[in-house]
Amino acid sequence: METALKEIHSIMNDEHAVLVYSGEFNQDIVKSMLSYTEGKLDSSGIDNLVKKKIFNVMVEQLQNITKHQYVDGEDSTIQPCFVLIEEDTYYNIVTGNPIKIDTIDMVSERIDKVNSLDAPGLKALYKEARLNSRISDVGGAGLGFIDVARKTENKLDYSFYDINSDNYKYFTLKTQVNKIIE
Amino acid sequence: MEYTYKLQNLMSKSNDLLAIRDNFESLLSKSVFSIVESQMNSNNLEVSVKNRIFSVVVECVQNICSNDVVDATSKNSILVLNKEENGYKIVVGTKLNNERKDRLSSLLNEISSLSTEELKLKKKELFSSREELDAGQKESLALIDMFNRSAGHIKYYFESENSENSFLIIEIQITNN
Repeated sequence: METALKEIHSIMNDEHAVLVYSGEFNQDIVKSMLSYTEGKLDSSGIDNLVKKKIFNVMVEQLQNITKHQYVDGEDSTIQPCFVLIEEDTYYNIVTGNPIKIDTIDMVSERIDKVNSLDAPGLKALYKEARLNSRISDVGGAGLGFIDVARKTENKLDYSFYDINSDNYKYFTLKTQVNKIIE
Repeated sequence: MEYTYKLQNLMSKSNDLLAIRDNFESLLSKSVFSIVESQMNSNNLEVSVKNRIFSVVVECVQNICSNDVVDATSKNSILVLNKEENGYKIVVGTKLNNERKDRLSSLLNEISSLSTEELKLKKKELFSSREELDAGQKESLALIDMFNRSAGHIKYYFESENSENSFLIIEIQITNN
């Protein structure tokens, strides 16, 4: 068997993952991920507000992967990845993509800053970031992280993994959306 | 979160694009296919090939992955879409109890031994009484359709999990030709 189905199934079982996509991301793929998730949420009778939150966070993270999916002159087997995890009381939205080593400090600082703030602090940071932001050629100014943290009201979890490259690491970002709104 | 990197590594090495783990009880084939279709759109596949893939996905989701003989609340089935040079491979895995394993094993052995003409006749025979088909006959029709759509490019095997359950894996290859 060429596919590693049993191994994939075993990891998905252990992590409670219900959907994994690994490959090129484009508008059609993003739309289909959202549509699939919508069908899944509809069938589980989840609250509309939670559904909206999940959607917003997914859009933000999927857009992020779409912008940062390409690597220059590296092993083509390093692909961006999207994982949807369903637990009893929350969903985890996990994305992975290669990231340039020289941007790791900046990304870590931005996420750490976001994680250190409470709701009013995030609101103020969002305002400030919007006023000062200049959209670069590869993405925004960290607004996405602030937005996701505000919507989920949970901390962002992230890691960088070594991928045998002098220029890139693999960046994973996990956000948690609670099924029940307090 | 190392699993994310592990999953992408495993999947990209074997050209797997998509993995859905579910019991497929409440999932519509349409929503599964919408995600498969979006992947195929960028690969200039002929409509007839897309239709064959769609039919196989429908049969897999409705008749192979979805079953209530093992705990229906747990997500015991998986569907993987694999990109090949000349088409796609759909790989499904599902947990079975011994009764279903024996039934599917015998059906798969029987159907894989039939010629195209014999498959047609068997399908016709089952179709004539399709309003009162039992579970085995529905599975039989689904498997015949999968063999026809893939021109017989099907591999399958069972792995024993314990004395009560097995895991069935079926690979269905759909090529551009």
